[in-house]
Amino acid sequence: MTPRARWHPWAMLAPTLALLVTFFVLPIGVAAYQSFFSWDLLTPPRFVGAANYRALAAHGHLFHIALHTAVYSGLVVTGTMSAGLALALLVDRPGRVFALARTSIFSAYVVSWVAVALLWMWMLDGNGGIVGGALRALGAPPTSLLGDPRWALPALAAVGVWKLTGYAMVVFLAGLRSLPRALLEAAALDGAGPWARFRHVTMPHLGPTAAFVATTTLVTSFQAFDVVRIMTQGGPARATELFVYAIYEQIFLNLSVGKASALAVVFFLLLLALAGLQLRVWRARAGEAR
Amino acid sequence: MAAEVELDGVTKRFAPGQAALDGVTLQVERGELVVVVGPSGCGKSTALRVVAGLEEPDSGAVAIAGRAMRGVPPQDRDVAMVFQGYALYPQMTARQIIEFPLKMRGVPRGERERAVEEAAATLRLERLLDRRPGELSGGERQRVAMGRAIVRKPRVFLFDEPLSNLDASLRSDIRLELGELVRRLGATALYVTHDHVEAMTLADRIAVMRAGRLLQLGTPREIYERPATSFVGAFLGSPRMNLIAARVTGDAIVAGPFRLPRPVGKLPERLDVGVRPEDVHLGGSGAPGYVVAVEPLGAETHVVVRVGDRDVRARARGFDAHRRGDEVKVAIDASRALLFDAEGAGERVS
Repeated sequence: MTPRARWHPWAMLAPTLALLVTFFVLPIGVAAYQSFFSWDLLTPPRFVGAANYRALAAHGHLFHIALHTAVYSGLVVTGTMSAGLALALLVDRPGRVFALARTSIFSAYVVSWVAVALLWMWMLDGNGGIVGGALRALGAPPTSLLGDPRWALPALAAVGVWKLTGYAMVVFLAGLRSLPRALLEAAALDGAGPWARFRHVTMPHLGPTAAFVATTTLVTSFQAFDVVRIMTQGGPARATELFVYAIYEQIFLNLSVGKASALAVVFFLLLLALAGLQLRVWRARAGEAR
Repeated sequence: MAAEVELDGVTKRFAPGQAALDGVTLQVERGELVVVVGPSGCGKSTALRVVAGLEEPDSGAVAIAGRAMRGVPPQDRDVAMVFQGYALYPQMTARQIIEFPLKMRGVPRGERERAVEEAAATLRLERLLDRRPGELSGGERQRVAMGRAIVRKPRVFLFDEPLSNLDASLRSDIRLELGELVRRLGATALYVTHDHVEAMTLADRIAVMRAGRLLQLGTPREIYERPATSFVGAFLGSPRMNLIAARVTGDAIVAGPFRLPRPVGKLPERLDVGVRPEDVHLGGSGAPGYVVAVEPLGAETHVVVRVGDRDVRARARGFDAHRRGDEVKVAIDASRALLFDAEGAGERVS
């Protein structure tokens, strides 16, 4: 198809392009510019070159933030996907009981992150919380998991998994429902038992679904902020300092726009690299399927 | 001869009150190809699935090689099925698909490879073995599905409309190949289709089904010449058999403009006279009518003539000279006409 005039395609793209430029390209450009300045929001900005980046890299601070974010995301993605798939397989049955189960599990995804965070703070509380109490009964010390530098990050990830599993389950359910029944029947006639059918028919069919769930939960987990802000504020001992929270901390608690901008730029580049990697995997898969 | 597949009073309901299979009794002899035919929703696929073990009957029994099949899972029944959409595993190559049933049964690798080569040679699939289903044409996929079925030499083949996803030109070729192959393997087969041509050409015996019931089981010739009911008569044969409402008056049967001699014996009051299009003659004598449609097919021409207020289908050889609107005289071959009860199931009365 060829456009009648050369400006036609641009006119079609203009609304989206305008939004993208205003809310994505420009802010990133501004952040990149400001990352070379020292500015506390009160006094005029001062050009400092790469000093902000050097300060972040010093003492491995930046590395720790990246590591925490990666660990958190890794735990959330793997946890969400395995729990989501397991639950989808479990509740993909007819009947009201399973319909109720599906609805209940998905409902966690609809609740706001803030509410989820507050709820889990109570549940994890070492004194009165259900989970905290249960752990204490098992011999754990009477402190919240959130107060323990070793356990705070996995605990946050568990909360993320708890919230996102419903979403993953629904997407996996859609994938399961689109599996032609004849394929499973053919496999049964071919002599495949339940496990072989799952491994040779269901799993390959769910490949694209799994890739979709992985991508979306990865993006969501990278943006984690509310849980950190409410449950741990990056502590204890900075153990739960994730990227978005670190940016927030620099700008609103330390009043350092330059450092926050530098962090944002690094975060952006990381995401760009990740998106590039994902695109390559997707293209390879698409090529393979053809 | 021993019945290889046996259905005995098999009933299956998916919703209360509505039987997909209603007391179906059917025997397939060893090495026989029985085609189950009927309109969609008549229960023919369910019959196949009951034999495969994909459905359990509500009542009645299925036996394969004399062994009762209740509670026996599909993988332990020694049957192979070719599905309508072929049901090929999309991520596997043709080789892996054909090999799959052997792999699942723990056949050693060397033996598997030999069996796959053999099946591929039989089906002329050798050069396609490393392609995935997405890279194969409809006919090629069909052959891969056949390969998966024949590779483990099952006792019984089940075909669920295996040709209905192919375009017409390919269908007749593959139909021939398939019939030849099944006979060469000497396999016992149950073949489900809604296509009466497939039924007539492939079957040793045809089973005609309607609304969950088996109406008639017989050789293609029996079914064509002596249909048990008016439905069976109309279902098999193209163009469709003419069914003309008739009354018995004195020693004659009056079917609209046609009169037939009354056969001896008791007859119901109201009848349907069944006349195959090849037994309708257009020419010098008979009831007057005019041509409403002409379909020249080359070797023969189908002509529809309006006689009074009814349309009569006729078949003429070669290119027929009649044109739309022509006035013609229509006669029927009374000796070949079939009489059906116009009430109830439409059973043949002579």
